[in-house]
Amino acid sequence: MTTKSTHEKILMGNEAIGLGLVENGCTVITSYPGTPASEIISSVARFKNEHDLKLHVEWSVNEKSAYEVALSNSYMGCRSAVAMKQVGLNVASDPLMSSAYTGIIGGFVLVSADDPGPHSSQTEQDSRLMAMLAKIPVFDPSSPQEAYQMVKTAVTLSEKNGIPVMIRPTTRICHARQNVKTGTIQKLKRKATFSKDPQRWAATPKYRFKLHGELNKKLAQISATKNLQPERVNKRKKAPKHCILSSGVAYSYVYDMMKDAELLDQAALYKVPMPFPLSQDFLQDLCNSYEHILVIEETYPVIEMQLPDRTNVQGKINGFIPPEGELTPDVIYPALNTFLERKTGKIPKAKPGGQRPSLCAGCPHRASYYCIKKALPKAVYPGDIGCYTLGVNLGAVDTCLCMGASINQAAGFYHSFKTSGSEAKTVVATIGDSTFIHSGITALINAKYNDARFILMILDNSTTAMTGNQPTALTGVMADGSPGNSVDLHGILKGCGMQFVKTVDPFDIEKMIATLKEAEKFTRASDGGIAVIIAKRPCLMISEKKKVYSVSVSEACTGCNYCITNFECPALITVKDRAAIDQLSCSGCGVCVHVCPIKAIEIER
Amino acid sequence: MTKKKIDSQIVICGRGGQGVLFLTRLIDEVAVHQGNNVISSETHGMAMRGGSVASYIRIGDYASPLIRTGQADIILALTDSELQFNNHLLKKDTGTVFVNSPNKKNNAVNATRISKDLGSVVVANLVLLGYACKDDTFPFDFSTVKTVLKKISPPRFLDSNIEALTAGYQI
Repeated sequence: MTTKSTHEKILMGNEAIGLGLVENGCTVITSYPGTPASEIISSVARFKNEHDLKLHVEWSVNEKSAYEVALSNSYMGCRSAVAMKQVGLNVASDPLMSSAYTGIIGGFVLVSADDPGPHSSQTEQDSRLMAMLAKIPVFDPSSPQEAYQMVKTAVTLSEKNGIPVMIRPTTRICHARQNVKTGTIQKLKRKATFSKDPQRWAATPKYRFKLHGELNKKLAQISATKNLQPERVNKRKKAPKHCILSSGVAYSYVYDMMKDAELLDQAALYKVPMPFPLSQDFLQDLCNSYEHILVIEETYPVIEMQLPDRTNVQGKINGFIPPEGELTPDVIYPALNTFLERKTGKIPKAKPGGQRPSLCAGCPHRASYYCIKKALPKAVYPGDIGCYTLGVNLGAVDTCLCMGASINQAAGFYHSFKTSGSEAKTVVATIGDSTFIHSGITALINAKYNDARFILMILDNSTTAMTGNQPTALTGVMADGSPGNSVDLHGILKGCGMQFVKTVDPFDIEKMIATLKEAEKFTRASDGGIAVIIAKRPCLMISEKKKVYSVSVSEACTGCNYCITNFECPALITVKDRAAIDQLSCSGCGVCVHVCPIKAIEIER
Repeated sequence: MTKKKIDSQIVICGRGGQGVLFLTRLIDEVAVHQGNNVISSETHGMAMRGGSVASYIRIGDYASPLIRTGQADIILALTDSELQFNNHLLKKDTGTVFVNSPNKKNNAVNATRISKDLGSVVVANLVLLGYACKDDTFPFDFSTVKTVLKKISPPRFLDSNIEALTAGYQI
């Protein structure tokens, strides 16, 4: 973040949200890392340190913990926020649904960042639909500037009505940069007080019914608030027949396109700042006033579904707008033209393709996966969520469902083999250290309790790498850089009843392969069980960048491509039909030396 | 600060780890330094692990961060092979491409080799930018870019960054 003048800064959408939270007096702000939401907390931590603010910022171990910690500060009358990606909200959905009923006292903002595309997620789900399910208001910012302003609106609305409020940015808002006009930091001198009210905070089903009624009243009041309802941005005297309703970044695309093509007098353009709850009176009036209505929104038809009469409505429900994928300007442009009865000229097609992502040169995960494939080529490999999902490129990740699923799926595969009586293959689950802490521990307890047998490899690289190297509970550093407490992985595994636990450096290929074979025996022994291997080596991004070895390919190389196909290191390239080392990207880990079947990759001494 | 009203849409493409993000931020800052509004878009997350990445920068009166097909004024390609996936974005008649490539073609510069000679391959992005500053179609001049680069470079990279930008400009 750099300053242009005192009150204008170039901010990424996530930084703008982080600044908004700090400026509006939030004192407990929590999150679990996840693209595209990760930078919200890191910017809050930075503002905290820069301005010496008294606030608690934390990387929680998962989204449910994050939600409940921040919520409790709002129970005590102070302002709070929790940030996560859309699939993180699935993990936090239990407290979300319940807290809508209990409500809050201090303003409580939930930021749930969606990923239409998807670019870096397992689903394109729409958090606005989660807000609707929970019955809480949701704001849909159309730019970083607006995201920043909406934080203030959300905190205020939340506090005034005693209800959690969601802000739903998408990837293109989170990771857009814009010069943003900013304000000043509010230091609210609030004393945290817990007012005992068991019929609210500890409500039994009988009182839950009452709370539900109160929630419905709050929603009715909010949907009747005029300045939160859609606003026509191109106010003209002439009433056109066409109307466009749009929210989020899609609105900004539509606005830019209509302005560029001088179409702003062809249709009434409504911007929807709060897609839920919408006023039914307003929507009915809209349906009565226009002959044609087009709804453009990401990713599910949330605004569209609320329209009382869809006879003349074009959108995602009837397929006029593609119901899946990101709504880029190239997707919207032809639809907008068709709706306004204009022709779209010939548009050159983008060439499909591009380089797929892969594990970094020198990444310890590549060595771990190579060993798994080498030692146990016939095994089934349930995988998990992180950089190491890229092990799929190496054929060592067979499944990727959601955070922590590798361990439960390993147990499920084991029980399935055993019950059906088919040949029981060995199952090797891989999970990162941060993901294991997030939701792997309960899965391991479940597997042990129910007598499953498999190998669990914890890929411990001492960081949350994929999302930008955030610290974990195992490293013990807190979000603002101050020392916390590190939890003991071996102690956890012991507590879960694990009898086979070995820590191996994945760069020690021979030892890792031998340990995997030993682990397989343990899973099949009469007195055996789950075998845990901790593949321990820090991520390259957080370790000292020093080349250990200088590696080269000798004349003996036959150009068989084995190393390039099976090891897929970005530093292994083909030059004149033979393998070569790209010295610029080679990290000098020396692992590929073990990979070449004819030992043509050598370490230069 | 010299004010200069600019209307320009710029694509920067390359691979994760090539410094696409730094170049995006630098151009954002230069645009604002000259009194313009800017909105840009970046790639984060999984794609950054060596995959194809592209940034879009829109300078002027724009509300949204992406560039539609056929609307880009400039493409800066840090990897020649990435250009094919972004070429459709370029304005048909007036768009200009600057590309880091060992091959001899229009507006191509071997920024990787030059940066290697300077001792750090990671500054190839700035070599290419310096090279683009020579061209009349590029909206920013070398001295302004240099001033802003000085402002935003971390101290330990300042000298090598300026050296790379200058090397590109002096080709």
